[in-house]
Amino acid sequence: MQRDLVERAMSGDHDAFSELARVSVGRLLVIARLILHDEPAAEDATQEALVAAWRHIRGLRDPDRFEAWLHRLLINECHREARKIRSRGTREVHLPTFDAPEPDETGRLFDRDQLDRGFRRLDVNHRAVIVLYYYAGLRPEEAADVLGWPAGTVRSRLHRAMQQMRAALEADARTKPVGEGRTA
Amino acid sequence: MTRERFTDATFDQLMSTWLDERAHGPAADPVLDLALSRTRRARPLPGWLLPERWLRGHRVQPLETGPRLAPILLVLGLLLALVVAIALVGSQRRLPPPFGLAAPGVVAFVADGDLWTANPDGSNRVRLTTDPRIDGFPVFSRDGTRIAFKRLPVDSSRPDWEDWGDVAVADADGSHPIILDPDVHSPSPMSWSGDGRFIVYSRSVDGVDQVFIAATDGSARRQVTAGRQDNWAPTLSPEGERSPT
Repeated sequence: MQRDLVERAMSGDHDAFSELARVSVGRLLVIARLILHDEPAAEDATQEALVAAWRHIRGLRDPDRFEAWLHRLLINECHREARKIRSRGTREVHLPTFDAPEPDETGRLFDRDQLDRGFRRLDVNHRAVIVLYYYAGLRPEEAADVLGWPAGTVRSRLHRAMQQMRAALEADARTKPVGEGRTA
Repeated sequence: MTRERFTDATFDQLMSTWLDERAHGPAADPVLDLALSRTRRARPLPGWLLPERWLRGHRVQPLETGPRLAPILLVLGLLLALVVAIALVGSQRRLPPPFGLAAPGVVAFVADGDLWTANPDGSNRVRLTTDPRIDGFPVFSRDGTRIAFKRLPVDSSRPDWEDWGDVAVADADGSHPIILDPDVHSPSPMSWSGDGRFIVYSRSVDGVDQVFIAATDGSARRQVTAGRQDNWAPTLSPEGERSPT
């Protein structure tokens, strides 16, 4: 079914492309949101990836690989948006509001906060590999197809990224006051 | 707190949960609407225009995997351009100073049958030549170190004697005169080559003006044009090699 839509889109059928975009846009936006940590930038990246997909769809050699190809376009746009964010320097961030946590929730909130901090320290490549593996559920070989890297590179970058995340979590945990610790 | 705080399984679980929580946000519909409104107005690019169609593994835009390549390539390109520019400039024959941006120098002129120079304001008149013969047509070389001129013959009893003379050059102060072409009829003013090694001029040969080129050290002279048509008033191009007439 999807192959048929892709082939029609490749022949210039905009309705077919609209259907493909409608199916994919939610997932693309979430991936961009997770990678960029910036909602406007994530929306821009998603929109630009879809526009690029339409403009370049005739460059797609294998219609069955449309989804991986679309994700690759999105990752490229995330790189572009990340550069824009860096060039802007600081920007206003709207912090999510939390209800007052239950006592037993304090440790989990602390962990999330440390994960946020650790994730922000990663570059876009390492963020992308984490998101594709842990959120999108892609195997390293599938992530390699999206990212255009060898599978070994995906594994090593995933390993390095997770080491950094764990190190951030463990190091920050050492500074946490006694009594707020969390057991596994 | 130690590394054992999280096992691989619990850490993986924590990561998945954390990402799931962060995945929530505004709906994607506005993004889709904007994207489709743009794609509706555009057409897909032709396949033959797209390198990813022909180059296996080509990405629409290279992923950033390390230092950004563009600035490095830009610097390398500029360095390469600089090297090429230096090589090109270095291979050019250098024109003698002050050819180019030179300040006005002295004015050469003829008075009392001799060559003189003076400042542009008329001050500091200096007589360059004192030969009993009449000198005229002074032209400085482009570096201002030498001067070409015509020296009329002694024998003023000869018919149309003022049309005859020697083609000569001397140092800028009038010293060390050299006769390049003696006793010629109807010589024109001279034009110097950029490097000062040659002059061109015309003179009459069997009643017809022809262009000549002469080495300014007096070592050689050659007729450039021939035929029954007058060829006169030559000038040397800046390269010092062509002589349009």
